[in-house]
Amino acid sequence: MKNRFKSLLGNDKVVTDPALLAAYDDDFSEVEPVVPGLVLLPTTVEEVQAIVRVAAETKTPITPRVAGTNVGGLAIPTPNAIVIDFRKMNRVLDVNVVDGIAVIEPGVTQVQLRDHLDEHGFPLTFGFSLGPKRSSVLANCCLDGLHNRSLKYGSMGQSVSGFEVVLADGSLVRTGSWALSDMPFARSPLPDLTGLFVGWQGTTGIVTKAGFHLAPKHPHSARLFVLTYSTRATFEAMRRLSRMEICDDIGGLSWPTGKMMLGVQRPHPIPDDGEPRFFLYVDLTAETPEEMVCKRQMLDDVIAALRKEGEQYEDPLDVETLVALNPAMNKFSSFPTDLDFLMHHPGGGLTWVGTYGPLSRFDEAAEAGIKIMVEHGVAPAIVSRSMKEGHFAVLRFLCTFDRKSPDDIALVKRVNLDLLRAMTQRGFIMYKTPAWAMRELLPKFDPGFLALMRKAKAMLDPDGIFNPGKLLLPWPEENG
Amino acid sequence: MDEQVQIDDAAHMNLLGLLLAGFLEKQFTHPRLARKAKKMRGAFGVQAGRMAITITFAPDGVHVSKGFAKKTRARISGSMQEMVALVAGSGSTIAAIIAVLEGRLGIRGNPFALLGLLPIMLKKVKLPPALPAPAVPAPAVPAPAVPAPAVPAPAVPAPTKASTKAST
Repeated sequence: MKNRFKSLLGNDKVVTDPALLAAYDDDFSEVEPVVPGLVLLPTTVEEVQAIVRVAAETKTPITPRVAGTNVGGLAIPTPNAIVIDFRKMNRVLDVNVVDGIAVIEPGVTQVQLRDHLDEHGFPLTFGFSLGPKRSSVLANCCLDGLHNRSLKYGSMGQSVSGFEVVLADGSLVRTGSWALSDMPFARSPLPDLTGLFVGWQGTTGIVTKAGFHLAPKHPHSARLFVLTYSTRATFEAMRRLSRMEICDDIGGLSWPTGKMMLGVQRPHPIPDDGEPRFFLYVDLTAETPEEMVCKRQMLDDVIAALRKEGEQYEDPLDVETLVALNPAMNKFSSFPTDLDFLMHHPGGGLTWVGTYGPLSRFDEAAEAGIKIMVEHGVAPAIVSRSMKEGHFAVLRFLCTFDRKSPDDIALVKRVNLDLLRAMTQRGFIMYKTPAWAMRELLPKFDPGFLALMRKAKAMLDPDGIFNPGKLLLPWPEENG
Repeated sequence: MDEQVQIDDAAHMNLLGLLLAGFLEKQFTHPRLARKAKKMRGAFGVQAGRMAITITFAPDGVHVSKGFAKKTRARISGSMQEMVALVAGSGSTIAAIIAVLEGRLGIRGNPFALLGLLPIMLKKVKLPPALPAPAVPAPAVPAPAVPAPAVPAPAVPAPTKASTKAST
């Protein structure tokens, strides 16, 4: 098969050296590494189609990958699988300034697209995830991750306006308005087949192009931090500000996350008496200085009203002031950013339970998660963010750990499982869901929903070649 | 050489101590401030809201520890807001004295010792403008050495003609 791919793609696009293959065996998480059988680096859609045809014929599994920065093992292959490394398919194919639409290939990274927009002077931006700068924009679309414009636009999948996908027989399909129009301007009004490739973790087809909505970049911006002293103070402010529609982004970082940013690798799980519990961060943008002043005033008014109700807040601090106070805060001054304190520490492991859930339940859910982590002796590092104007939000619990320590791995597995169960019980749903979590969740799915998922999977991937081991379909696993 | 700042028991340190330790480290990159710090001796208490720390100037460097030490030369206290304004605000000793006179900052112990500390603790930074600041510039944070797959990273091809197209 190696020779077949070499003749199809050329020698330079086929990786067979075991030392190089080993670099594709893992991500940041505790998920067991698996070395692929082969790595292919296509540069065109036609090459991807050819790869899929050979894989289908030989029933060889395929795992797509760009940066390998996932924290749920979603880009870790199965044994002897082909990894398609998309880093050479990294063109920004079009930017439509008037309609605010970009068409990109899978290898386009966050920093690359941002630089592309800036270098061309386009007054546009897009939602940056908190993933590394070199992580793939398209992957975040497919995995329905969140981003710093999620407050207005929802999860990343909701910004997708159309996909080009290679199906299991090697044929090509375009979804959304792209099915009929030359432009992927919206997922509407045709049947929304784009959804067959969002949240499916690469198990239904190989997405080779994405059209998605960009956001206007306003000339005035401010990032403000408000120190809060309780979970209620944090999330009540988040709820009220979300409803006012004045912010671009509202998020909360718990005190251990703040301490990790300030250089403490493993903060003590219990906060110091009198210490703020959360950094609430608020992004404001405006077309005019007057609009910004008005938004600042509205933010101050919300905080003043909540103080009257007995909640405690510090006054908003401009990120520039915080950076002047401590340069480590620079990590949060501009996106995309590399939150290296999460990845570059002794042991290098990072894992999480990240959930989407209703903001109305955040106070209780956050407290429950904090309790679980503290009971395990782990500092409750939380990152949260309001989404879709407060209809829902992300509540994410992070654990750093030593990947070489079996004890550490066992500990984070226990913490994650307890967190997953606690959040699921409260109606929260884990996103970018790893296989270990799917094993917990699938039996709890609505039976009709699960049956429909299985039918869709069987139809789109009859031989089970697309990223097997993720989503665990067909289910039960022994039927697969 | 820069004066060393050491956090005693970093895992238990409060946010005030972590913020100020980073601030002092940055301050001591200025040779004049580092020299001043080297000459200083003794412990100073700082309280912001309900968080307290002690900054101790010792021959082996500057130590930041949680809570107030038993013996401090002077202590300064105020809200978190006032403390941030003090160190990252106008950078003026006069402004600090006014804050004390107006009761926004409290001091105990030897005020003259605090006058010696103030030049180290005050940094002139640009005040946030009355009107909104422009977009925050990208930080000059060096890219971390991320373990990437050992396959040579492909150069990003020059944008195709289509990619630079701005539909109007």
